Amino acid sequence: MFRSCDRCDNPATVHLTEIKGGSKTERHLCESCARALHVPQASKELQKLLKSFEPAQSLAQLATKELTRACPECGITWAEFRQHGRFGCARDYEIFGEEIERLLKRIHGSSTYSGKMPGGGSVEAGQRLDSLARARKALQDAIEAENYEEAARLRDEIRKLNEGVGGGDGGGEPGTAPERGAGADAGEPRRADGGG
Amino acid sequence: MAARGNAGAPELPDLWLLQPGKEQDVVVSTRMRLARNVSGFHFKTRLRPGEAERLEGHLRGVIAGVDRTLRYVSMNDVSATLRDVLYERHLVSAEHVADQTPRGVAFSASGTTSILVNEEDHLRIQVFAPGLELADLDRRVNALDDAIGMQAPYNFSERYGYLTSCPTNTGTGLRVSVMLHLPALSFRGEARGGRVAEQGIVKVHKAAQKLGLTVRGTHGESSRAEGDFYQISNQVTLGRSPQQAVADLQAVLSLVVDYERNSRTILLKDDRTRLEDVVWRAWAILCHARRISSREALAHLSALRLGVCLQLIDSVTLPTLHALMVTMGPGHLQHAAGRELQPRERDAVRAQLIRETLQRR
Repeated sequence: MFRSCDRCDNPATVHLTEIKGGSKTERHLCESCARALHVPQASKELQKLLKSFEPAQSLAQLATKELTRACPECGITWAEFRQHGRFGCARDYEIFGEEIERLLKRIHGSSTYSGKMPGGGSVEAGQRLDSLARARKALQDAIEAENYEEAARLRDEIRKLNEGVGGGDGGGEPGTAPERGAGADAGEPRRADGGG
Repeated sequence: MAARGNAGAPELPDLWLLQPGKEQDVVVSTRMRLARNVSGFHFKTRLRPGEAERLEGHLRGVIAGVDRTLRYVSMNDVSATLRDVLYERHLVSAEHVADQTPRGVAFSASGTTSILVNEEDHLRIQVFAPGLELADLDRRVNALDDAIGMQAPYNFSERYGYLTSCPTNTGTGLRVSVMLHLPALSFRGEARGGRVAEQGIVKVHKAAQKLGLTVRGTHGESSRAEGDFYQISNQVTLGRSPQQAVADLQAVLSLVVDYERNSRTILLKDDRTRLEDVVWRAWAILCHARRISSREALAHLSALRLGVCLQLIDSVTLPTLHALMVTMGPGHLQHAAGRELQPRERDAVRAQLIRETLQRR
């Protein structure tokens, strides 16, 4: 269905739903009016990609609950993310883990990082840390499944990987990232919402 | 709109495009940028009231600590004209100009480094070089990135790498863009029926797409190719290391550069007179026009650039053409005039600037 922009006659491509104090308002804008009003927009390709994630009609109800789940840190919902194509904080990557995993695979053909570590660590070290995090997760799964043979193998693998990292396991939790997201770490120079 | 008093107009950086570069007959410039977000703050779209100011202040301090020689400009403290000037120098993006959030840019006196604060991500660290220059830029951008990251820890996950506001940058956060001048590949020559030429550019698009690269206009995302200037950049930031991304780009680039050079040779062999005619007409118009738009001027400057590279004309040099491409922009014209100029006025001032520059030999 064709809809023209609220401000001019161009076709509307940016659709906004604002919920303020319980009342819902919809706005439909063309790209240039949206830009003039400083509405952040996803690029055309990204918008198309995000559209493809819209649930099938029969699944819609089930999905509504998922879509309204909000990040406790920044408050964004998956539905809001889909509208603008921008995340609200680093925590979203955990909160919407499954959706993000699929999205990243669609965009990049992969969801596995390959590159340096913060502070100038090498690519190899980065990949080793990544393998380590995965092996730890696999070990946990193996123990839970009472697959002790696999667990023993993984334990040895982790030991070997740890030697490569330089022994500095640092006691990190399985799959823990150095930065877990906005405000998650203690002792940072400034905090997102600390009274300053 | 005048600059608000206290800040004063900062000294502009050098025009680095005047320096010679590798493969400069086809490759105009190379840019590398890293997208980073700082731990402890929300991403741009969800910054709380007051958070953007605090973040800008924090990062401004961190950047000054890392490199004291960088000049910092708070975008809300300078005139609209100066913001345009920074944009025309590629130091800031169009979004950074139009935005109203507390935000800024730190840049080097050479103009080849710029760090955007509170753009789409908290930090966009970018470095430039004339011509094709990947290794040196890689070193420079990573040195800056590591130094800043030591003072302002980044959002990073082992699984996804650097966490960015837009999922298209997640991972390395790296965008390598190479600006190319492809007049022969986009030449709609009657002698060759036009079809050959259009296919050239289409082929480039297809080859790029296969390797996860994209081809765009000169000012990046959503800008059109004007004056036959195109930008090729990597799109994939996950699953591929930065080294691989650079290698893929290099592979496509060497193909495109050869392809453009061969097409120039063919054009020259097919109908040298026609090519000379295009170049000298461009010269004539630029030397005599009394009112000219940016778009028209750029098209003629593009023809002259081709003429210089093919040695069809020696009345002008690449540095002069590159300087004009920047200084004829609306921001630069108004900055030089010291006042706001209406579009018609600008076209006249632009024509005068071009005439005087080209005839000063």
